[in-house]
Amino acid sequence: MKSVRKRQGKGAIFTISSVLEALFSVGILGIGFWFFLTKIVDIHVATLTADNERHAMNLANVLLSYEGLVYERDGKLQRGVLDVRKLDEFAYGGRSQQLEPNSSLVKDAFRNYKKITFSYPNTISYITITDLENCTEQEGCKVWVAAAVGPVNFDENFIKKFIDCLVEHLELTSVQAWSRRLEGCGVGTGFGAFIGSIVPGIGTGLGAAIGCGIGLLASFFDPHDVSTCGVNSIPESVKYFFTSGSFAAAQGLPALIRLPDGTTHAGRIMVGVIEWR
Amino acid sequence: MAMKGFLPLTLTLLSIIATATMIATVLLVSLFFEYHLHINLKFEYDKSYSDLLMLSFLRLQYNSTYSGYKVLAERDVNGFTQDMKDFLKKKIELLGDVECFRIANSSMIIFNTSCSSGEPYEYAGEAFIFKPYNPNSLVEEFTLTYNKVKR
Repeated sequence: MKSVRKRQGKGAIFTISSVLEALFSVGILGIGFWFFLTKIVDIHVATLTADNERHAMNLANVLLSYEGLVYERDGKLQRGVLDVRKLDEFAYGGRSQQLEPNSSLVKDAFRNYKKITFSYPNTISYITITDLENCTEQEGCKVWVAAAVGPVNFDENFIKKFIDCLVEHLELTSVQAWSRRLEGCGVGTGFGAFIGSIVPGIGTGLGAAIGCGIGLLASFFDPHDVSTCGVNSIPESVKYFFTSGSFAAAQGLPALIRLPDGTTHAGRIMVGVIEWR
Repeated sequence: MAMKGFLPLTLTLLSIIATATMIATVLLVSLFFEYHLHINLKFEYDKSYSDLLMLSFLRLQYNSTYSGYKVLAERDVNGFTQDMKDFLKKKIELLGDVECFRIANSSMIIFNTSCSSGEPYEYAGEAFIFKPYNPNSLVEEFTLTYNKVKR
């Protein structure tokens, strides 16, 4: 009898240890898989971010040869030498205490943006050019700021897609859907009646009717359907957002600024690219 | 009897080693890839920066007739005065956020400034300039080697 119980107990111990081992293996595999996926996503993002940084550097280089900015002598463009007169036309001039574009400067840049056709598709770029030899202690250095918008490849049908998706998910025969709508109407009626009784000239009845209408409309679609349709209708080109911030955007590239009297000042061009894909 | 317990222990150890190796491999490969991406990007930026610094300094206007290019190209004929050196030093330091630099051709150092720690070595830009009135060669290769200010 004793040996039978002992044998039964042995089996139970064996089963528990097997279950624990299996759980441990599944856990390890799960962690490994999660780790692997996380790293793949990291690399994917790093690759796309590197592209974004490269775009900022290339755009800065292109701007240093752009005929709308560069000093021209005897019909030849002087790469790297920016003409003050062209800069005044191209960008918004101001003063800044710091080399990096601060928020008010970026605001000015967007307020005064010029649509430059050679910017990368689906990008907004902010350009800051600083004259490092025209600085005062109180006001900082002379800067020019501008924002460039590249050609936008935007799926304009996303609103239609969104509406189509909502209509597709619209349930007119479901009891649950109508009870939700009635609930919305009820809540709206309560609020509307309360507001109508406070605001003179509306009245409780009219307030309740308006409230019911708003409540009905607000609860007409299932919130889950609205969010799903929203996510599915977002154009493919705006699923990722990147902002360059390491090289051309933060440290900039050297440039010369040529004044009307012929003297050249040391300057810096900084280009940040906001990109969506 | 004592040997019986070794098998599960060995299997456990082997599993732990295999799992650790797998995670370390994934980690190392991804780190290597990310490092590779970053180092390439940094190289492109530094090259662009150095080339533009070189270009800007050659296009500098020393006075109404002399550019940085002419100052260097005609230094054997017109001289390379202290005033020219001071001008170049001030402008290069400001243009490139440079702590110290050295301008050299293939055979000699033309001009250098002192660093707080040794010699300039971090970055370099190159350019070929036309050198008139030179009996040996009409083209001279210039290298600007510099260290940036540490912030």
